[in-house]
Amino acid sequence: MKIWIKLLLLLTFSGHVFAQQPAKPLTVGITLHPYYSYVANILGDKGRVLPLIDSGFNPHNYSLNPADIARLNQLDALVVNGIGHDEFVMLAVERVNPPNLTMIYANKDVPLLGHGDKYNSHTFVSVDASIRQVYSVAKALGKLDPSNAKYFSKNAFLYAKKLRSLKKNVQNILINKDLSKVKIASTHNAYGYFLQEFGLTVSAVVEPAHGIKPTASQLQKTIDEIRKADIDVLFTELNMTNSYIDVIEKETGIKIYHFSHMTHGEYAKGMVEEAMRHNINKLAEALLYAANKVS
Amino acid sequence: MPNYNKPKGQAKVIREIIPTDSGSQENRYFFLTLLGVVLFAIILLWTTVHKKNKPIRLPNQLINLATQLSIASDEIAMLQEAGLLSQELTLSELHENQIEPFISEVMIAASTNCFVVIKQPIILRLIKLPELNWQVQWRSIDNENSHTHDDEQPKHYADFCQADSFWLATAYTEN
Repeated sequence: MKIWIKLLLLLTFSGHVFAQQPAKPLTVGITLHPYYSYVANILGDKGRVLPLIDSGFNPHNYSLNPADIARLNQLDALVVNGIGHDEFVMLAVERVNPPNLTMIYANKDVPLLGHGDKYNSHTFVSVDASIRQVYSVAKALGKLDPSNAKYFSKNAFLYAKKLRSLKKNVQNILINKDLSKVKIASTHNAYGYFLQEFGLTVSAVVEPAHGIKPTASQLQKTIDEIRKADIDVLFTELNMTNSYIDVIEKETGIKIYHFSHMTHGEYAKGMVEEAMRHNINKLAEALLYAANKVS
Repeated sequence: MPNYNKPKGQAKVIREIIPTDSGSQENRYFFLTLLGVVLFAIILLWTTVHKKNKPIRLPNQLINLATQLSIASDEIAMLQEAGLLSQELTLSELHENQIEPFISEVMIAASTNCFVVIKQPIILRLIKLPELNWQVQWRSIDNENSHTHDDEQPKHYADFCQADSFWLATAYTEN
């Protein structure tokens, strides 16, 4: 009898331990490049990040192939944008319905920019919205692996601190220059969150939608609008050849600056930090140019 | 005009002919009125339901401030758990720990563990609610609270720390 009680206690206790500590480190899937960086920084050496699609594909119009579906079945969790940037995965998850998969909606706690029923899904380009997502992902991963929850929170905190420190460069310019008359345009609405965190707003958006070239009449209209609104700088996407941008530059004389959209290249732990540093430096450069121009 | 001076026996009979009416015109008016009332009710109902389903959104220009407050809610909870912040927070503690937006915005300590920032006509609050921990909420300063301005005496700010259904969450995603 005693042996049975001991065995029962042992089983109960071991069950508790297993509930606290997963048998193997977490395998966390991601749909977009920035989420690779977020998750890699949060997990540290306590888990593995697995991109759902190979690098080099545009998430806007991607459809999953059998290899991607196989990857989906290996995951403990999948971090998604969930507000329009990775719709390709939503349908697949619904169809395949992997039994052990936990969906983590990175934008769950992010206050979103939008008009009508549509949200701007480019939250990952902004420093603050990225930090918000990092904390939400860290909390969700901590629930999946409670024994490492504090470790994930600490990593998220340190990563957030690192990202926030990148903003200082532009903040110093904002303090010292009068930018109230500076007018900004962008090729598509990817930089709304990013610019807003520096108190800047976009006066004109050139592309009708991401990657869609404006027609000749739309382009003429844009050129007229840029001239009329007296736009000083235009922000466009790095790694995207837009010949019409050259036309706008030539016709209006405005200065073009390139921002990283963070959805190209290889998946890397330091990608977000590097891309944000690039964007912030470009923004600082653009603001200095525009401030001198308007003054 | 009837002749009242005439003797009774010679009274003339006045015959009034009332045309028979099926009442179709009255029926038409009745049914048109009824239809109007029903249509009005449907429109009213549709508008009410539509209004309820439509999310009330925080103005776009306040999105970043709300994001910073939302980040602060997590960081405060984390630092309190680590014992690096007191359980009854003060503005100076938040300043010392460089927590945004407390260092860049005029935040008001309205009550214990309740901080507000007013951006007319919107007010945002970061509040520690029982069971829900730190929350970021917002509401518009409507007519009933029109007395509240940036230069108002601090004692009134405590009203913004009451629990009521007017306060909305800053994140809208359904997930």
